[in-house]
Amino acid sequence: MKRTLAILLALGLSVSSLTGCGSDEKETKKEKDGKTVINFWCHENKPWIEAYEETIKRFEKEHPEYDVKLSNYPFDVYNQKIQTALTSGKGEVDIIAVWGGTAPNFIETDALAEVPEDIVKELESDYLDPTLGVFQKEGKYYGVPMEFNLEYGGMIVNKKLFEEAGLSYPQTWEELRETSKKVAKKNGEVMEMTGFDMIDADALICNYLSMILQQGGQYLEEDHSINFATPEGVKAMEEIVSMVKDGETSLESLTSGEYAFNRTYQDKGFMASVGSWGIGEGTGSYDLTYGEDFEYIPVPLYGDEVAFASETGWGIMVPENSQHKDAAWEFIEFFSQPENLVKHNIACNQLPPRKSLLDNEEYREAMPNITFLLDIMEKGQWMGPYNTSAMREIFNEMFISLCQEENPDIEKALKEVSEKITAECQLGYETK
Amino acid sequence: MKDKKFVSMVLVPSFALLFLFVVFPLFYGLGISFFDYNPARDSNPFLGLDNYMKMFQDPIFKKAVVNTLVFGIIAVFLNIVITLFLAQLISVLPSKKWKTIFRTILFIPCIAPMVGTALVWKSGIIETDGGLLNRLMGVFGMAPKNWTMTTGALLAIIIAYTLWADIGYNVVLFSAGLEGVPKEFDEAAAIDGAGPICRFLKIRVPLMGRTFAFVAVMTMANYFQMFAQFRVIAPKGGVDYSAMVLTNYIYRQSFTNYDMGYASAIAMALFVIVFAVALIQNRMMRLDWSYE
Repeated sequence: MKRTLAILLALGLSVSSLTGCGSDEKETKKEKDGKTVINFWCHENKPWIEAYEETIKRFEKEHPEYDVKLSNYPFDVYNQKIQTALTSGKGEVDIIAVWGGTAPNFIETDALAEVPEDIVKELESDYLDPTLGVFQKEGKYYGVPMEFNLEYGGMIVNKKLFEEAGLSYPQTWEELRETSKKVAKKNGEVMEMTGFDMIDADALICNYLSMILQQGGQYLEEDHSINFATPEGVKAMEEIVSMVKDGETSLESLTSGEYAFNRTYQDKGFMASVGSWGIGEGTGSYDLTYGEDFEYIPVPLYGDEVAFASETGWGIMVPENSQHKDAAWEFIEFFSQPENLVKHNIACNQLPPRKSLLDNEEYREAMPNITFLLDIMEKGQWMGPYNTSAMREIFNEMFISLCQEENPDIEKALKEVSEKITAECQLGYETK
Repeated sequence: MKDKKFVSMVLVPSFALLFLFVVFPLFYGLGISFFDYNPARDSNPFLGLDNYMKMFQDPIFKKAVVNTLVFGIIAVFLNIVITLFLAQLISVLPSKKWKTIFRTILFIPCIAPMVGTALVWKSGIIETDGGLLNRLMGVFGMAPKNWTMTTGALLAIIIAYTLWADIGYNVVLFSAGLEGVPKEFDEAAAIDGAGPICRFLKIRVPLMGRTFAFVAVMTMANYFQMFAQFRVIAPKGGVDYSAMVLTNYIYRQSFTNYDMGYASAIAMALFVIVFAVALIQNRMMRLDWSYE
């Protein structure tokens, strides 16, 4: 009896340990109450999730035959989740929202469905160039942009700190540096108060590239290779390194993986460069009041002309193994319609990717604080055919080394990093 | 015969699972390491030994190997010394109640998830602005430091965290080992005039060979594969990759660079290192598994 029990127990435990390997097809791909279930994945971000839910509500009202299920995952594990879903044969997801910096990893596989022709026509006629960048592969499109990503151009300013110090917001680059030096305070390696901060993983490279372009320089060669070691590139890097060496800011945000604007919201910094999405963090995560506690204003130009580089931002894709591709594209078409997209962009503090929305009254009325960005968006160039996540890692490592050396050879470092990025980060596919 | 049947019936499922989840992935990983592999692609080109050639020329891989070895050797050595010392201290406590209390206190960090405790260390202890370490330095009049920007110190902090998080497990094992040493040897030495330190070092420790062997091999194998604390405290490997270890580098290649083939080649290298270290330890600690 005992022996039989032991054998049964061993078998039972073995079987139970395999139960996790089964599929849950009923939940994921079949129909519910006669409706087609569309599974939509996004990353964890409260205002964005609420905005998706609003669009889904409107879509379901117009298309009662569909039931869109939204699932969100922490950003840290989100890309792995997508990778696993694309690999599996189960087709557990029909729509995925993907960050342009990581999208190339998925686009260079054959795991995504091609964007249908009617949406392609819209993309080619009405979307700004940088928003399409990485989504194009050998003449085809594999993603539909939902925003214009601009990490350069605006900065969060701590209004209270400025008022207490009796200072006005800087209007020129010289005033910016002067104010920054005046207010910054350091104790050992700890910044007690930062002046102007753009040293974080997102803002650093975007500001640097813009500083090159604003001097009339260029970092992208005709063969698409990168060259930062130009006179404009060296000058811009010397300027940024001096911000750290002069004690206006530190490497703290860059090394800890935090955004620089957090310090501004925590009353530990006067100014921090960030995309307009950073406003939502202030009002949402920090519960601050726009106009009272902080404001979002233009970063003064470093050079003479308005110029900047923008990478492809968030977009929506359909996996090739989706069980409901047609339904998924129907949802994306609805989502991308200007009247729906503008609501989503407003709710998420995003910049619109469509040219026709740059003068949209609803957007300008709802977002008066960032209209100055709408006016410069058409002057932006695409950052280039590069995996910008990988590019950032290499670039930021170089920057940290430069800041630690007593007399850094900036030109040599820029030359080396240009070669490394060109060799290691170029997209594995032709973008046009 | 009947016994053999029973034993096989009970063991077959376990071996099947072991094969499915340990042996098969090992060989599958070995296979992948010869390809430019991304599971989402339709075709994955065969590269032969290219991934291995790339690995031997990769300066980050070399640093990761050195850091893994340094971390493994120092952390295991300190772990064994400290846990043995603590186990001995606990064993001389007069009451069983106190022994249990101390073992429980030391064991608590072992049952807490490493990711959570590593996050607490990161934001509460080593944080530049307001972290405990910098506050302590302030008490002694020293300027605060950005610990994530240090090289040797960051690895030392990770070693300290690992010891804190994992020490309780080996304390329990050594306590059991100490209690398993027959009392007669200890008493005989005491009668011959040996003091407590002498008895501990010359009687108890040598007689705990089998516990030593088990603890050393298991801890070494475990520490070479430590990942969570490195991922949390030094996700990008620290300044100049001074805290990059092989597990974190495998993760980076797999899930940041999506280069599963290269990641598998590095995983094979880690397997070879752990296997070699375990073999060496086994040879060095060849024992007579009895007290006769």
